[in-house]
Amino acid sequence: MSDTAQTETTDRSPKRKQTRQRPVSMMRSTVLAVSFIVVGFGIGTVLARTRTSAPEFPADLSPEAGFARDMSVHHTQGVDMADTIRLRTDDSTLRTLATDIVLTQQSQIGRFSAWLDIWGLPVGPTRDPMAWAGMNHPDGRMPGMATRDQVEALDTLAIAQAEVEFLRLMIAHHEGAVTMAQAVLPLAKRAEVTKMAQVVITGQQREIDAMRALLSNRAA
Amino acid sequence: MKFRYIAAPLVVALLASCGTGKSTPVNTTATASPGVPVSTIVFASQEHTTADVEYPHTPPIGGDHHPGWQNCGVYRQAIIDENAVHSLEHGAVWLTYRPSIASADIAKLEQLAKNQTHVLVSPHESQSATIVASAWGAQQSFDAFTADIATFVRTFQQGPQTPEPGAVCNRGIGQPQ
Repeated sequence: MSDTAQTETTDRSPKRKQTRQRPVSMMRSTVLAVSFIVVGFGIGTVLARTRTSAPEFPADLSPEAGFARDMSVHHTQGVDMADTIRLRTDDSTLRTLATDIVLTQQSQIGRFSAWLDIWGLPVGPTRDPMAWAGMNHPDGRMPGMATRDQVEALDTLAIAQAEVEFLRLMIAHHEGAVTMAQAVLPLAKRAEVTKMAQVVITGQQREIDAMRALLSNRAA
Repeated sequence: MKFRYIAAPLVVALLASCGTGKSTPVNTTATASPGVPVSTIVFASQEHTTADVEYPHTPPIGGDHHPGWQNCGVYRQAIIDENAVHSLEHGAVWLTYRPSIASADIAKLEQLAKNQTHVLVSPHESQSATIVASAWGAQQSFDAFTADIATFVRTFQQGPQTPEPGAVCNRGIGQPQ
């Protein structure tokens, strides 16, 4: 069906020209309108998906999630031990090292929980330690973790002994952390996870070296 | 310029800005524990006090509390409510049981705290339910040990109800098992 519309406007001012509308079919304008709508929504949908769709977040049973959770538990003990010695020691070098461990590891715990939050996952471990790495430790603890008695001894031993015991325990603790980080490196797909694992490996290795030096100074 | 030459691109642009806006979530996590509404309780006060506090819930799930938080972990003796409430403020889940329950069930509850940083387990003499799971502003009672308790822990340990995200549950008071 075609409609012919023809209008003639009367001159309202000397500058105004007479206009005459071109004939436009109802069908054509409908098709045009519909195609605009379709194209519009198509562009919008594509844009929306690429802008707001979540990247591939790790799943609940993923190595990334397992590493973030287990490492938080591991670090929590590290903070416990380092803070205990930090408060007791008179050795300023040892105190500085302990402070560094406390603040850095607590901050990293914060990062791990932030990841889990963003990934939409519960923060606490949901499996046995290191299950995400296919490892199973015989006593069910993570690599390098101290026992409850060992941690408590740091508070009750005479300070000279406590400092030596702290250095021994913390070296083992750090070596365990390095093992965990090395385990996640080949398994993780997320850049922030592999980056953090690398940070743990290099940073804690440096601290192991520093602690070995302090230990040898104590002829232990 | 003819109006229709502006109108068409305008329409396209307008519709483009709407789009569908939705994307498929990649992670669907079962969060809420069945039957536990995440509470909208607003506590009148959540200050530090050294006095005893009168709490409306047993065990308490928020409000004023002592300056020291109870270190998370397992306790075989009752702990002070006012310290536990501070731990709840830090995101802890507190699992309490009537002292008379079977030791096998106590062991199962204690297992839920193993390798967790923000789970407290202790006996509670004045509670009427067999087992209670509490978090800041949320509580669920149980007649017996069930799998739902682990779900509560998953939902609320350092969960969205935590008034102080990032706060620790160690370096406080008490020596857990």
